[in-house]
Amino acid sequence: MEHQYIKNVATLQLDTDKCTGCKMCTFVCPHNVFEVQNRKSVIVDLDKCMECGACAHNCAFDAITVKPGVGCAFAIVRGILTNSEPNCGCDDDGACC
Amino acid sequence: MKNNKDKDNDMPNGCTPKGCCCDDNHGDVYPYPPLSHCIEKYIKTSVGDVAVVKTTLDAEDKLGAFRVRIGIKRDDYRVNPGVYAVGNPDDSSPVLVSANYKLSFDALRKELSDVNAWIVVIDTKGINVWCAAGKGTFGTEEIISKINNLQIAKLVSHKKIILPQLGAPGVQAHIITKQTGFKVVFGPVRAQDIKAFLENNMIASRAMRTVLFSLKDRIIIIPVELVTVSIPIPIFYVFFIIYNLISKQPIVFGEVLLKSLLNIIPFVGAILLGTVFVPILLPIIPFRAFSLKGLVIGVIGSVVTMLLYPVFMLPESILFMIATVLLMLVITSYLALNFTGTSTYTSFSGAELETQITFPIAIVTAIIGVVLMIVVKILEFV
Repeated sequence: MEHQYIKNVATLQLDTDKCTGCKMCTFVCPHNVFEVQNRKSVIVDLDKCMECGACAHNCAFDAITVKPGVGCAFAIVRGILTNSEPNCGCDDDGACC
Repeated sequence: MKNNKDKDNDMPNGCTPKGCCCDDNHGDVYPYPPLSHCIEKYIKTSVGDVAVVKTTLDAEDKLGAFRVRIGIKRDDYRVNPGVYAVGNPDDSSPVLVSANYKLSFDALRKELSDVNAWIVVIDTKGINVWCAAGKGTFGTEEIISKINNLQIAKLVSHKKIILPQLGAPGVQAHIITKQTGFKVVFGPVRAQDIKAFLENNMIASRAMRTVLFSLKDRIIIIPVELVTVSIPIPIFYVFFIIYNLISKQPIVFGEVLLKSLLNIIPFVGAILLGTVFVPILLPIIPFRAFSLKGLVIGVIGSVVTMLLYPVFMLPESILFMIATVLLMLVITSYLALNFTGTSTYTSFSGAELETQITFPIAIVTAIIGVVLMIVVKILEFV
């Protein structure tokens, strides 16, 4: 069964004019959010975006913007309590690699 | 950021694999124990002696992994950064970049039997690739400095380095290429696909590029989570001991201890539901928001608790029953919400949204629950 998280909230944006269709975003995205169609990247599944920032970082043409952050409630709560940027102090390994 | 601390260790620094990081030219020296049991031999290269590591994990590796999985000193399980080899690599062999978390390093090398390759371990402060990428320690600067300091251009005649795909959030591939001349190829998400990736002309298939969050992935992290969330259990126990000691009836202390132990079962049960059942059942529990998933599981737990209510010897009062249910729901919802940090697919925006809604409700509900319990106790005396 496929995992699905809250819809219509991801901050991911793609500027198609800047896109050269190099496919880098499709290589780095862990959830197949992008597809290159007719030499341009297209966001095919925005709700799958976990805002990791891999695509935006690796786009050599600055065509992608996303507000990257950790999708971690604990970090967010701590950020609110300490009035700082949410920071992932957790070092979970299993979920990652 | 507890895991980012570099621990002071009185281990002599001469214990690092020769040719990897002891040499001043080769960057940092770390006080970590030697990998000697993982090392097969040393080979001479144009950049010095390089350790060839085994591609099988031995008992010591497995014991170490087990220790980390149950949460013992898991932030201090590191490999010295530097160049390592598997098989019998030459100047045309692929260069794989890895984190200096030993679980990551082991996950990679155990998939490299019969492969000739170089492994460049960068310093991620003992954090796995994905989390380090999120923090930026698996990052552009660190990779550039390792390529330069370790003289990778002298070691191999080609101009390609393979990065784990999950390192991508921390790096800017085009900057690495610009600064070092090395082209970055993103490899598969899982080390188990690395051989297939290398055989497939370094092209990662869609499946290799996709992060999963399988049942096994979710189960393997439960022990560590349980260790963390079990901390409040003694507090629950002390609360009920005090609660039971304040009584109009004559008290036998031994009975209070036993009764309090029965009293906390629903709440300990709620912790188990939130940390064990929510992760296991995650994709089949209704709703997308984790806190709502936790609520669903909490409702089921509450129903069972109400059916078995007399067993727990809690006060026979409707108000107390309501309080019990409220607190159970808070516990399961909060723990499920907390699991967003462990999951591999939640967005910051989504987690922020549900946290902003759920967290205040959870706090108010918890307060109401505790106040109700106190009210029940006061009513006993009036």
